[in-house]
Amino acid sequence: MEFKDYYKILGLEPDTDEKAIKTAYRRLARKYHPDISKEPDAEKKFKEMAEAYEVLSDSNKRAEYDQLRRYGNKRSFEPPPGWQQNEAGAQEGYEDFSEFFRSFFTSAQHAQNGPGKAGFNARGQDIEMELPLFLEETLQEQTRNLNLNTGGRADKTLKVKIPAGISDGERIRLKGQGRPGIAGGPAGDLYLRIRYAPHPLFLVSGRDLSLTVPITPWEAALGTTATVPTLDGKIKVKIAAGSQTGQKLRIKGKGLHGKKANGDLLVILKVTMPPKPDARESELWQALAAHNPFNPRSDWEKST
Amino acid sequence: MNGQQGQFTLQDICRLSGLNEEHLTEFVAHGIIQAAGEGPHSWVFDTHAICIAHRARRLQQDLDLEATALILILDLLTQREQLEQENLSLQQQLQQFLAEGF
Repeated sequence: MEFKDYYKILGLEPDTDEKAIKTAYRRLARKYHPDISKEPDAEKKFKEMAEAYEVLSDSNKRAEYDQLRRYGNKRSFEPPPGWQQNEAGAQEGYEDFSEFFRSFFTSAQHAQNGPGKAGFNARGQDIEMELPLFLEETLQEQTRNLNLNTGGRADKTLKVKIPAGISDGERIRLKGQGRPGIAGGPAGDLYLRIRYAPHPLFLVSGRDLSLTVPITPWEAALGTTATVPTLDGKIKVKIAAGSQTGQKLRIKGKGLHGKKANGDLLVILKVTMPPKPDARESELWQALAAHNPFNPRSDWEKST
Repeated sequence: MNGQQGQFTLQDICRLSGLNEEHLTEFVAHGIIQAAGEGPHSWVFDTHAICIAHRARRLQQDLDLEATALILILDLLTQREQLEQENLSLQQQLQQFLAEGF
């Protein structure tokens, strides 16, 4: 079993006073709390810190730990006979803590005052997981088989129905599919958080989708009917004569499907130049240039 | 078994998140958690509300926060998520627009 240096985890010297321990914990918690932090490994680090703080902030536990630290073999820690590993320890709200921790602090009176583990009930922990989904998959109800290991003996497979029109970030609650309950309490719940996978063409904004449609300069000038993709098949879009890059056309109801109404598809035009003109094309552009005095930088000339 | 995207009462949400009613009522008053219906007795919450409540309880316990600070943090976290989302979406749009030979 690996010996945990709780002082080192909190970045402290062994003779630190209680107040400094609290300060160190708070400073690190602010940095690594998984709800706030962007650090990689934040969750793992936070668990280590919480464990270290759990021991060092309690004078009894700290005394026990200090004694062990002084006399124990730190390289490969073997608990003395009196400290029998207690299987029940895993069920007293410390299931997140290390084996090292559980091998001593497992008696009932310790479990009473864990931070973040107030013993108000014996429900198992909830689990939150992300569930990636392609945009196309939101059009119809999906059935997924999820392989889970929620702390039980074996992996289990869950069949999950994902309703059509589900939103990015929306959660599906699977009652009783979280971690097992403590001492006969009910199991926790499993929350699946929907994450839309990025789409190569469509961008999502609420229920609306946007699509950049490249058009030629003459299509922009003369107008055209362009065929554009949607999530379910192609549609024809009328582009007016004299269209411009950045112009948006809203196609009602062709966005993501919603529970009440469908979103819209926003077509954004992008005038795209053909490759370098040949001799004939250059002549045509020159003729156009001679005919049209249009200058998109005329504003700059006025002000200088 | 899933699919009923959560209709939870105030009591449900307290039991599931471990927050007390007083705190939850305060979160609803500050718009941190959305509830449908009028007054605590007819409030109805969705699954999202439970997850915010969970987050609130974790932060409250792990960081030993008082209510005002907690509300401020939850509010800022939500704002941060919205801004990140918006930023990502604008970046993608810009990318599509600038992409050569598109």
